[in-house]
Amino acid sequence: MTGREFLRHYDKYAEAIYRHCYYRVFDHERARDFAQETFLRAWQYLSAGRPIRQIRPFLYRVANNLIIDESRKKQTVSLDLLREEGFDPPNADDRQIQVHADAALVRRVMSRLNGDEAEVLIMRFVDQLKPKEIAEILGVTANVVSVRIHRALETLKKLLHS
Amino acid sequence: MIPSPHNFFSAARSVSLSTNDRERIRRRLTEFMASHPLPTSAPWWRTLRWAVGGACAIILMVTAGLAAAANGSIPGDTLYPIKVGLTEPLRGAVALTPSAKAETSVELLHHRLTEAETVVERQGALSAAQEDMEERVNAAAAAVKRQVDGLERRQLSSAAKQVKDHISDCLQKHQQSLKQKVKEHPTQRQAAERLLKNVDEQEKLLLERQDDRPKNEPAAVKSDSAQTSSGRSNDDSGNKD
Repeated sequence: MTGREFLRHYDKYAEAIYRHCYYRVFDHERARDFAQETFLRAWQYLSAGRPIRQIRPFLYRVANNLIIDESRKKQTVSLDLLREEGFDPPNADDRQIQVHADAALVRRVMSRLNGDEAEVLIMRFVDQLKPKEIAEILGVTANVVSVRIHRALETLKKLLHS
Repeated sequence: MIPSPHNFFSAARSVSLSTNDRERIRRRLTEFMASHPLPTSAPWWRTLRWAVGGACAIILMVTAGLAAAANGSIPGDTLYPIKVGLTEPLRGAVALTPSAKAETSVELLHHRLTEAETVVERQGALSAAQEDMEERVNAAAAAVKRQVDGLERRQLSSAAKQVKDHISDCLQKHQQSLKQKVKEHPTQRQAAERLLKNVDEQEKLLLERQDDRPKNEPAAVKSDSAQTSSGRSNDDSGNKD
């Protein structure tokens, strides 16, 4: 994979990776940092001479690992490091997330779903990944993913009606 | 109003990175990529590893293919040396116990006889190929005898009996097939009769020890063997007549 190809992948998947992170941490800045760190790590992996067969599942796996690591450490993974390296994080005025009127409801409902349920619903219906692709990212079978999606949808319907 | 899951996910999709954020991350990524370039080529050991792995896979596939193709070959065929020089010795090497070795030797005798029958079918009249084949049959029978003798020396009489039963079945099958050739194919008659005679001799050679069993051998086993042997010899003499 060349640098140009990698940047094309960034343009294509940056939004999805950011959204994936956002619905895991419910924080714009942290989600943005996770998205950035995901692509930096992926490039680091490539620059070490290791091949990436399928970039999309790989990016999701990296993002998931970063979020899990952070939840274990309970501290920001990369922002301090990036500051040291001279990266200037955007100030509050730059935050231009287009939050739909229903986004507050989405956030409220998503935060009430458990981690696994929210994860598969976002991947399937927001990022529009196929069950097979989700299975590859999560390291489970496609059947397990289908069952999780079905259960998560049931929970979601209950929450939407409550 | 209660939103449907569809509307819910549409709303969820509206969360996105701002253009500024996306551009900023892209710039940061470009800088990082410039400071961490991709390696110009794969490390030599990785290339070598793939090359060695690929070569091994190809060799394995070719060997397996040749071995499978050589299975039905007969003397004179191009692949026959692979069968007798590679496939069969390998099969013999896998047999570890004396009885397994003896069973394998019976299998080889069966192969030689099958090949000899094929030679008779293809060439009809007596030929040099048949003489060569008979030598191979004799060698295979001698190997079987050595294995059976070995079993008996080790006092593995039940294993020896099992192998002899196997020999008996094998020879009987070939005798029947050859008798049919003698009857139904006049052109093959001479060659088939000669091979049949050879099989009868091998039968005597290999199964004669049934009569030389030690005195303490159980009577039932002895009488069974005697029945098998005598039954067949009667049958043989009847057919020959």
